[in-house]
Amino acid sequence: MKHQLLTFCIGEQFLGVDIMAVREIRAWAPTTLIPNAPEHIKGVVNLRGSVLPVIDLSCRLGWGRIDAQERHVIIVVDIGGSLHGLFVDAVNDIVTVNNQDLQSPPAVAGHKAVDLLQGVASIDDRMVMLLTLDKLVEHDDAPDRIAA
Amino acid sequence: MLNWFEKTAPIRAKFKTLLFIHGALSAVALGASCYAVYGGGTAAILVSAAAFVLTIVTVLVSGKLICDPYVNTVVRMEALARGDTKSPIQFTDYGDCVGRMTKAMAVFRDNAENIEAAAAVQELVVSALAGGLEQLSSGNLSYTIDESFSKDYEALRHSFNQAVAGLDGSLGRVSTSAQAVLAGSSEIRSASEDLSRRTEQQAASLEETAAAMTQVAGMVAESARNANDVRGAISAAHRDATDGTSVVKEAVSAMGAIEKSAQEISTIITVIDGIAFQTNLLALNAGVEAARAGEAGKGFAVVANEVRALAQRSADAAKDIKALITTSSSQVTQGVGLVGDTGKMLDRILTKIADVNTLIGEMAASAEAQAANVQQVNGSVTDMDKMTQQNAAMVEETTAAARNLAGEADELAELVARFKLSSGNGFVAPRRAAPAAAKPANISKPRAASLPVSGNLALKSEEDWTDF
Repeated sequence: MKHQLLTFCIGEQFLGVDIMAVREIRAWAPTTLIPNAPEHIKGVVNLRGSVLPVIDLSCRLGWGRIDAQERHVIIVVDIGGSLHGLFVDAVNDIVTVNNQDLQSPPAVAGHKAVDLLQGVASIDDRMVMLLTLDKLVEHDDAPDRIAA
Repeated sequence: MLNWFEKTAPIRAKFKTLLFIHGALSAVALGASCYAVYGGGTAAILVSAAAFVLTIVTVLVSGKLICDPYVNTVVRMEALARGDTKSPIQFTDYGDCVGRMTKAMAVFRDNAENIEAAAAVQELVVSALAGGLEQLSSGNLSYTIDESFSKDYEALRHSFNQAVAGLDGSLGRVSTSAQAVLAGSSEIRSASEDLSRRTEQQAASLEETAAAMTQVAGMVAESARNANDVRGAISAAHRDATDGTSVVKEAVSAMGAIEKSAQEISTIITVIDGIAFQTNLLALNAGVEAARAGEAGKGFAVVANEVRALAQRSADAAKDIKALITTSSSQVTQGVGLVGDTGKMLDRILTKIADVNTLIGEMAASAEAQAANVQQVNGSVTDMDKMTQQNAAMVEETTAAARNLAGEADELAELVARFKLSSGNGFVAPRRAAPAAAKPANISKPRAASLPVSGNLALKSEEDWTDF
């Protein structure tokens, strides 16, 4: 089975999400901070009138916060029916991978990692980690959930 | 009786006596004659003869008695008149005229003797004086009449000795003075020589100084000219530096303009980059939608891919341009920095030029002052030269005067050398020597020797004078 992935990068790491979950790709806009939000929530942005929570994906993945710059990108994804924004460094490409190319994350990585990653694929000499979107939001404390 | 007759009786008494005797004898004869007349005959004749003989005898005797002394006296007187004072004068003891005559004769003789003695003394004196005067005339002033005269002439001898001593002293002093004059003139001459040598040296030094001053004046003039040239060059450099500064300013402003336009380009490029980015996102979005649309969106996906490619090219071009702009910017910054440095350097140059200008101005002023000083010194040197020449002329005059003086002193020495002084003629020391004091030695030095010495010295001095 073929997956179409949207690959993006955070720092030097290449990640990917299922393209079906992707609603939109937006340029960065200043986020409004939410009081008492967890660290990985950057805040909310205005998406054509509606409020979009933005997740600092690097922080969520445990790689530290990213300082927001204009060339960073927010990927609007649909997670469990509500839209969330993923704050990433840059969007690379839309790629197609076969299931057999997708490998499971190594067991030694730990419990949380196994949770977040659906798998790892090798595309163009790069290791792309496929994220499991549902897992990202499970620990989410965002007050508003926007229906997709 | 005979004694009385011979020696004492005056002539009249003698004749009276003779008269008596003759009268007596004649009376006797008369008597005898009378006797004879009266008969006495032979006796009368005898008596007469006796009277006759007696008369003869008496006459003879009386004649002798009278005549002898008389004639002797006359002879003696004649002899005395002739000058014989030595022979004794007889008959001075006679009391008669002979005696008186002989006494007078004795007196005459005494007088004559006295006169003779006086004459002899005078003769002595005269001869002594003559001898002394002869010595005097021949120049021997040391001569004194030592044998004393008779006391009448002693004063004369003393006067003569004193006069000679006076002359001797005076000539001795003259000789001393002549020697002193000679010594002095020799000193003057050597001093004149020295002075003339020094004047020569001074003149030579002045020449050198004048030459050196001329050189200095030339160098000062050259220095002034150089200062002026430098001034001109400095002015040109100043102008150039000022132009350079304005050029720098223009360059800086041009570079600023470049920078500004580069910034503007940068801004535009940023805009283009943004556009490319947004286009990329749009293309991605289109891709996403196309993927979600599945089969229906395949064409759309292709379009989206092409748009992405274009966006990528645009982004790349923008990146390249940005890189170029950055390079250009950095180069412009470098250029501005260099131009700024140039400007600073030009400013420093200007400052230095101003300093140099000031210094050159000072140099020119000091060169002028130097030139004025050199002129002054030149004038002073000329004055000194003139004075040196005057000095040289004066020295020549002094030399000539000293030479004359030496000549006169020579003559004087010669004149005095003719005299033999009791202090001696001390012209032994050659004139060349230092202050020649009169050597009291050579009294016995033959006079002739001193003259050729003077003559030699005179010749020698001639050489000296011509060596001037």
